[in-house]
Amino acid sequence: MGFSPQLSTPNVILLLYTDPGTGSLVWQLLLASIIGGAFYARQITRRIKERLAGSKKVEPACDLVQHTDSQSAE
Amino acid sequence: MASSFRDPDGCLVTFDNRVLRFVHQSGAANLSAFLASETARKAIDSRTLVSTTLLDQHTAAVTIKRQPDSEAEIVSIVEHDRISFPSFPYEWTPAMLAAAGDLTLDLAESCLDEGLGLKDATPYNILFRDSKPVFVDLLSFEQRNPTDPVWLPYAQFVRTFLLPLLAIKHMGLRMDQIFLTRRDGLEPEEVYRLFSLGKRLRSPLLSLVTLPTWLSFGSKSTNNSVYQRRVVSSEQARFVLSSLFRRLRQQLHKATPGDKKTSHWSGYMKTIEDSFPGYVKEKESFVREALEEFKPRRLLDVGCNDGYFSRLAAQYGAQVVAIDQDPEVVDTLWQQSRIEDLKILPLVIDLTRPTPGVGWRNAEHESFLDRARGSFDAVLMIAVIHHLLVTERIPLGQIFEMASELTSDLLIAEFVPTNDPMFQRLSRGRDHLFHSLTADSFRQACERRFRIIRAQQLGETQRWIYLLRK
Repeated sequence: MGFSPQLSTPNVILLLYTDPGTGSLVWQLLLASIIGGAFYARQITRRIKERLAGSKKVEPACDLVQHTDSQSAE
Repeated sequence: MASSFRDPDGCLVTFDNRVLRFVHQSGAANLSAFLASETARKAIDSRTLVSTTLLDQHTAAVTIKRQPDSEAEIVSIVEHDRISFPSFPYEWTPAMLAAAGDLTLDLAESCLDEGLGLKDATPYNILFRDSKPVFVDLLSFEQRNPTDPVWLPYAQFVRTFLLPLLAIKHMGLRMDQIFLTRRDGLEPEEVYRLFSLGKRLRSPLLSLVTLPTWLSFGSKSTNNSVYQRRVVSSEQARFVLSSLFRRLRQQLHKATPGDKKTSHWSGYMKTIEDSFPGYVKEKESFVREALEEFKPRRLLDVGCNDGYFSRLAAQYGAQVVAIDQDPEVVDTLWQQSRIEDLKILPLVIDLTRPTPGVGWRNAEHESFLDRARGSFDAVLMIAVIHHLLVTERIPLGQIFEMASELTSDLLIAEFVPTNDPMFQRLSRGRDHLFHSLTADSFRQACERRFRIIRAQQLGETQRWIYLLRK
């Protein structure tokens, strides 16, 4: 079945306890892959943003480190 | 017989008035992991999870020896706090089912971050302690793989909480119609047939009913690929599950009945007070005196209506079970009991047709009468006996016989004469059937099974109220 961002492990059958309802399970898997896909996309855009912002953020980070050091010296 | 026999991880047994859960080898690790979790600790503290103690080895060994019937090896025993009056979904109101659903979702979601999950989502995991739902089936919790983005009990939650609520809201079905005959709720395919195409394509039916039904049409072949485990990163799995629970909560709240409908019995107490001034006040002070003198600990209010007398009893320290056959008035009473935190458990029960033993061998869930017998030291039958006599044609002697089974001590019974306007409204020309019902014959019927402690005529009516003792 083509749920792309996910890996399915073949031959590992789920240990079922309740009846997962075939139609409901298929629907839930579909939804999970759509939402999972959205999450995946969000992760990617977030990493891109961090990369872009990363180059501007060097100085403030140094200030933070110095401030902490002086505190612990007291 | 052990209840909860379906679970291979353990079973519940009531033993010497105690509630014990025998845990099998397969369930021991999951149970310890869950009991050690933060979720369990918080839930036990807030009384939304039944409190549980592990029996020491020696006591456990002795108890196991007395239970020869076990098919699996018992490795430990836990004891649960007793819920004083168990009740089942067919006796609840829709709002109570929704509250149980909310609790299920809360627990299912909050234990995810501790590597735990819920393996089933059914209202039978929950009992009510007064007006508050309490999760009791501890073996429903299991350790889970955090990379798993699928909540398997989803379909059961939909079948047993959401679809019944929708069927009740849109089709006017009742809780007992759905839950007495169906252990596992309603299937999407069944609900699909009840609605027209227009309604089927709209939310919430589209995702809860229509799509699952359409998606199951092709699955008659035994294709097990849908049961393979999916694996993603744990953050992605958590994200997917959060969004699932958020949607389920929204759907649950939308399916819960909204504005109060009025029923035939809703304005009853007000109508009575208007028709017979002083009558209600006198009745109230009679009941108050009785409660003051005897201070019953566990009271059953039969035909409770809006719970006027249930509240009075709760004020005097009793734990009350209030029953009425009208779901609307029971719902009103439950909402108030919940908001004001009263010790009142209201249930929808018709005493003349009480819930039977249900399930396997008619013994899985005890009948109402079996649960009620010996559980109450006081019973109120106020403004209800004439209903049993006229509408249900139960003979007076049998009504008192039932009352004496239900109470272990006190009974407060109200006599309504045949010429009373309410009686007339019920009997509608069948007066000849009740010519032998007089104040004297009523008194005699009381005395056959009880001693009369006090009796009082009420206001300007010819009604009488009796305080009786076994």
